[in-house]
Amino acid sequence: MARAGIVYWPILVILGLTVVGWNVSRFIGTAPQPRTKQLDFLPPPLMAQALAMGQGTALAKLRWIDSFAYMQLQLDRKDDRVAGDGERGGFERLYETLITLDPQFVPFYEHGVVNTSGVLKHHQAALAILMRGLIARPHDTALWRLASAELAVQFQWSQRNPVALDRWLNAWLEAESVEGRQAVIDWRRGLAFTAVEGLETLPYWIEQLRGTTPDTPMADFVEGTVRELLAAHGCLVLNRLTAPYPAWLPAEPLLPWAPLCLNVQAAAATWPRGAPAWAPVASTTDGWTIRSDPFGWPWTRRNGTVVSPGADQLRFLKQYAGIRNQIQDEAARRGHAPADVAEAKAWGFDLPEPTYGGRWSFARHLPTVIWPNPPQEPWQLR
Amino acid sequence: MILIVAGATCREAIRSRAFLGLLVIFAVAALLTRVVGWVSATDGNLVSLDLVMSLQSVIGVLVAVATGTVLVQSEIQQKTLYTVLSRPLPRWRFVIGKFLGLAAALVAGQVAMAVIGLTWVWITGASLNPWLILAVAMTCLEVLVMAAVGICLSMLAGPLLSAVLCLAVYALGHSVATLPQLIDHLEGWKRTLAVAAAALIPNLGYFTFRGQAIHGHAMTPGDVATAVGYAGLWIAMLLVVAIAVFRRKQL
Repeated sequence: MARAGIVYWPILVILGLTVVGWNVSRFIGTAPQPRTKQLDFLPPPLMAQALAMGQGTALAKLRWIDSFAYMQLQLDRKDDRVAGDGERGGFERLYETLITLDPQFVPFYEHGVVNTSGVLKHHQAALAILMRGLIARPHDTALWRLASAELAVQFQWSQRNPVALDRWLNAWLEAESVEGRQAVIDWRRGLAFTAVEGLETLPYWIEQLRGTTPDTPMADFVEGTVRELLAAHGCLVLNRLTAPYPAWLPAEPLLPWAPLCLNVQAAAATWPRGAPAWAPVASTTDGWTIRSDPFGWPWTRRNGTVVSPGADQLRFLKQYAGIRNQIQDEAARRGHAPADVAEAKAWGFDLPEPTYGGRWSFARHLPTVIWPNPPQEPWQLR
Repeated sequence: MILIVAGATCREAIRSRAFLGLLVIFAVAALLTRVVGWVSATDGNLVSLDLVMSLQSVIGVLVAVATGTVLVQSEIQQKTLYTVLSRPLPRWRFVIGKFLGLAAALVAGQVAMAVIGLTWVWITGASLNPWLILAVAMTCLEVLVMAAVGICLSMLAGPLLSAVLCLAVYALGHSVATLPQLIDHLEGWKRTLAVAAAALIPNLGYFTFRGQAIHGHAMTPGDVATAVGYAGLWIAMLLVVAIAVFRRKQL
């Protein structure tokens, strides 16, 4: 018996290792590839509930994960007809079953909308899915937001039926808690800014700005982005408003500078209810005046086009970010930063002359440009 | 005397290979639910949590069936039953003691599974809520009802047949929960037959609170009382049937 034991163990080990090796070999050298397949099993909702044996919520999630491959198939084919009764497509039937099994799981609604509306352009089906979601979760901000976007964008309620959209948004506001109402306000603001050229993404960046701490690199970056957007919008508007009056904006040099009056009629036609906070002009009791650019510099005209000096300065730094980083690396290698532009040139880096009276500074390892202070305060963003 | 039988049964059940084996399978499966959570890309924590709760129910019922259906039969086969019954112990006390012992083991198993499963999903990032404890308690009731079904059926049939019947009762018990929504599709005698058949099956839908609990939804005191009362009623009825059959059984 003892001898038999000694013989069996090595055989068992060899066989075990062979089996494990065989299984592992299937994963070696595999390349990721899209996995596509049809929806093989689509029981109606009530039948699925009966078949789930009390594990409906868990089975729904497993079925949902399995259906990702069907989505992959539809990305190319965009025809989700499947076998079975009725005119409804595979996605509609799939999500009807999944939602019946677990009406509280928000990703079912989100994916349902992406697949029916986003992939197949079946917007009615997507809206039906969202309405079921709002019945099951009447206070869910994500679902309200999705439904509002569906109505505004796909059903074009913002243009075709603004009154109904306004009522809808009021209903959303009532469904939200006091804390959640900011989401509705943000959404309204976002919708309003889709009509303001150059500022379509401003609400997003304002929201990001709200989440940053002042004087941190992230806050500087977000503030810079917001000012760039405002400057781009200001340039667009001022180009239109000052086109007939080129003499109203000064040519370089900029300093000294004072606000110049605008054509009142043109400005009033653009902003009938007064200039908004993001406009490059201000309406006062004395009339309309051009504000500074968002960085505190006066707008100027170059080659017949209005430009923002502050935005130009930011763009200059971004344009030469590559060479600045290289100098930083070289300075770290040598153990000291270059004393001036001449030394940087001796290291092999030819730095261009900054515009608007700026000068290169190497006080930190990352070279930067120091410009004169702007004559006006930059726009208040917080 | 009932407590002595219960204590011995509990120890025996906890030491049984089926009990420990299924507990290990649960632990491994609970670990793997995390992979499914990762695959799901969004709300993976919720997916993992739901699967863990489902596994707890399924494995719990399997443990109840695997141990409950062989409880008395193994005593007969090992002839230990004769030693026990030769003492002044009424048969009803023996059956009650067996059930209580099995119930204690199953509840201990449920608690162990809940601790393992919930700790794992919590460590890996899922947030838990107090309603999950109530969901575990409801699963315990479900498992206890199935244990009573197992003991009752094992008095009427052999271990294998009673295990198969027990699993059928589990499947049907969840299906009858959906029956009121489907019954409108039937008419006449078919409808009567379906309702009559459903009336003979314990409705396990009363104990399925997992789906709501993972989303943090509350269960009303009325629902809890209904579930407890319903479970108590079925357990009492099944044990009475088991005792009646066991009293007449020729050993």
